Amino acid sequence: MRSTESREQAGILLKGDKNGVRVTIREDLTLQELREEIDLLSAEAAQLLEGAEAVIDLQAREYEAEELSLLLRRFVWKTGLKVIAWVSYSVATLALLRGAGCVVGEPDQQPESTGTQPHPAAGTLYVYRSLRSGQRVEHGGDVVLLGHVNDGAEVYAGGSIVVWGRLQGVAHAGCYGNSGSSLICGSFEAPQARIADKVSYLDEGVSWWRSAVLVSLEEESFVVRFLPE
Amino acid sequence: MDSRVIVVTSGKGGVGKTTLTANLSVSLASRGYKVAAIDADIGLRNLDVMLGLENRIVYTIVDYVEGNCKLHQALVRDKRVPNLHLLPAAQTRTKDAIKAEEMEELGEALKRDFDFVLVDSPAGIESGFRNAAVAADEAIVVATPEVASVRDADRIIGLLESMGKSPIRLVLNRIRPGMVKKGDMLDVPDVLDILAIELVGIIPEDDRVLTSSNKGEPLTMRGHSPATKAFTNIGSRLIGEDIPFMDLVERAKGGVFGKVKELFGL
Repeated sequence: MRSTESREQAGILLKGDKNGVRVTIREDLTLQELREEIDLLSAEAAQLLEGAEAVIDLQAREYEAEELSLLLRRFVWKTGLKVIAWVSYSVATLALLRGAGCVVGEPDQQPESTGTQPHPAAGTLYVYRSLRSGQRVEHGGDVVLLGHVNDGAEVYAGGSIVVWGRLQGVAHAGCYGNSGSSLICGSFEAPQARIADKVSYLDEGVSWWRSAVLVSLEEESFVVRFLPE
Repeated sequence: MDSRVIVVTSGKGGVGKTTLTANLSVSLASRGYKVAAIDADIGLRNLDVMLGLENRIVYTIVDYVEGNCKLHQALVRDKRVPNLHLLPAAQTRTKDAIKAEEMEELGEALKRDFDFVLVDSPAGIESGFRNAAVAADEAIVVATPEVASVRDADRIIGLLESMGKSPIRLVLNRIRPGMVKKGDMLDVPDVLDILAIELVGIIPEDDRVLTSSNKGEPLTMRGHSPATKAFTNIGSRLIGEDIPFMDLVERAKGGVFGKVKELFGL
């Protein structure tokens, strides 16, 4: 039997953090592998997981309702795990989770549902990947994405957004109303800049297209500053 | 060799999935590999027409899944290319007629008898695509050098990655070298920069693709056009041969002499 210490190579990774246990389910598992991994983990780590508070990170996999149901039946309920939040980059998966009343997003870092300002406890979310079309990151605080945001992908942050690479998709900084947020990217190629409740429509004609820039709001107007190459 | 199940998909419709499946199937079968081409576009079948086998269909993939026939009865053998078999889609049913588990079982069953199983996926990202992809280990994503097609390909690649398909390879179809040269069309490096997957083929725009489809005679069955060569090269790369990519832009500069050479497939 594989020990829990060797789970670094497994399809489902367990890691202790301030929220309890972080369960990361690799997005590239086939359905069969997912079933096998769930059953293996339920069997070998049941004692460890029973009653533990956990964040389940589903990465960008687009789960179907049956697959989420499988996860609940054969893993969450079977081990007695207490899920405090679900994390996903898939819009469809987020919609399914929300529809079922699940808490989504990094715990303690989401905005209060009635407030317009980001949650004061919101930290910085680091995303070590590129986002492909159809994938989305939502976070109450700042987002630092070390990759590209392709056309059709979306980043919504209560605070500022830094995209290390190319920004071609939607990036909405200060999406809960914080106009002090800014947008930084290595190459700006997006049709819009969004900060707080302001939107600017752009195209290739602007002088800073494909440049490294910092975009912010000053007196309700967009201000763009070139960043050193 | 181990049997390989490859889904041919794109997200966007009309980019050449079925044409590629047909040509690749013929190309691989002509080399002696046993090939099954599955038309997974249930309700809108086309692969049979492209392969010129529409008159020989008795049973379909849905008949097999529902237990109305044996697998060998549903497979249509191509008399012109003896190693090639088609598993046709049903035209009168919808994509819900088959479940993902049934497709998985079908893929496993075909693996026992064939070296290559090529699955022609329907456009879209719904159940039809998922069913087509679920049986496959590998994927070929077809895109044309248009912004909409590339964005849809990016979406599909994200879905395929999250389904554990590997490798995922790219075929760029309908390249018009003259337009690329003038900067009016996305160039191959532009697309690769965005999609960031392995390129397995570049196919130039060629009117003969249309006429061959209408005749039910894929270009790889006969002919020496640049598109024929491009399809054949994809087959070669899939079986591990190191074939350099054609420089279509240089070819476009060839003038009258170039056109004559092209006509003779040189």
